[in-house]
Amino acid sequence: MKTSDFIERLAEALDAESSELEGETILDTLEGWDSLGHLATIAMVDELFGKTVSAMSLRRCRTVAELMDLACGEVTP
Amino acid sequence: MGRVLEAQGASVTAVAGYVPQGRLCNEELSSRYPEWSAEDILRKTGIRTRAIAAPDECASDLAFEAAKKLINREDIDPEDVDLLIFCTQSPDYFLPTTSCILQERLGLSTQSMAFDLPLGCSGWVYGLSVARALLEAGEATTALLLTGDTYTRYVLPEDRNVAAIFGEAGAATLITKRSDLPGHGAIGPFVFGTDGTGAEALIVRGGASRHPQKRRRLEMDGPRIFEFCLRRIPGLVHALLEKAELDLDDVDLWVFHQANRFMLDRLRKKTGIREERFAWRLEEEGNTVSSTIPLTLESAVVSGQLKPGMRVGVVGFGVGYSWGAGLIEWTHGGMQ
Repeated sequence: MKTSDFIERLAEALDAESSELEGETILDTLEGWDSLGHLATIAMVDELFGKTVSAMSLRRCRTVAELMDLACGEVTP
Repeated sequence: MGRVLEAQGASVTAVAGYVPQGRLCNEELSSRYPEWSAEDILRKTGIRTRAIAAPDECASDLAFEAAKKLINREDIDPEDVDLLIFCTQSPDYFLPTTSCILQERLGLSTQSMAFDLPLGCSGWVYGLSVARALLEAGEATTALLLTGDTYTRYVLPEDRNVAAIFGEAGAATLITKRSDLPGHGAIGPFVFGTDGTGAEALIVRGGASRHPQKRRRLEMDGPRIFEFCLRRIPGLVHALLEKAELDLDDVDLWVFHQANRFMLDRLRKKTGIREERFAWRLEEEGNTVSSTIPLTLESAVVSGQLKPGMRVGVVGFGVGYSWGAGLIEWTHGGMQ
């Protein structure tokens, strides 16, 4: 998946503007990165990659890029 | 020598809900938590208002009202009820068990068996299975399964994530032996599960024996619960179908515990259930814990979505973690 596509979907999940997001964006600075935002992200990853990421591993992500690694990292083709 | 009861099938004969008067709407939540707009709350949770019990209204009062409604509507003699199960996590007292108080208030026979079942969102499915087992074992003939909870008493003002989700209601389900309807109205099979590693994902720590001095506060880790649901619930539904030797399309309607819309939408899609076979009742009352499944069944009957002869799948999951799913051949028709 292209980074820009991932960012597009993440922005939807977090109610953010995709233009505001890049790989280095710190997740904690985003207003939508709260409990419901985590929920939406888990759902998004589950839908896109068929993979359930744990809430704990999600919270460990610091940046958008780390989140993308978590989401796409172990995807089987 | 006492009565000897033949072992026969059990059937869900009627269901009735009671929703208290109080309401907490999204506009009120938005004024408490200005970072959330009323539209955002509706979009993210699927809930517009939450039903809230009056300050002097306990879970037992909600269940009592639901039971009274059912008894009057179905013209039941309370003396005929010989099993009362009250599912609650907000009992009136530490002891005695609230079902004993309800036995007296409802005028049930002193020959009846009454006990509480302190489970949450999975509780109605557990209660149904226990009632069926006791009826089919010949221990009872007529069961009243009551549910009721007042979770918002445990919600602190700073905890917006729980304030936005939970509502309060009661429900009553009548389960009777089905000697006159051979082959119809069967309850079961069921599949259950428990995983105590999730105990802290939804918990009230204070006020009981482990932390008597701590205040009662409902703590919820929503993302963790969602993760649990995604991992467990689609597999639970498929395990149930396998046990019943049925396909997904053999079940006419699915009634899941109404947790929140976002979570349920994803679970529905992941499980492969078609939209038109999935019942909802969340928007006006919120997540009423063990009452959501009977309330949704009631609505589905009233709206005509659920008709006699249909096969219903019921799926409860949450606090514990505890989960359970079962099938019901629906026989119950119109309601006034």
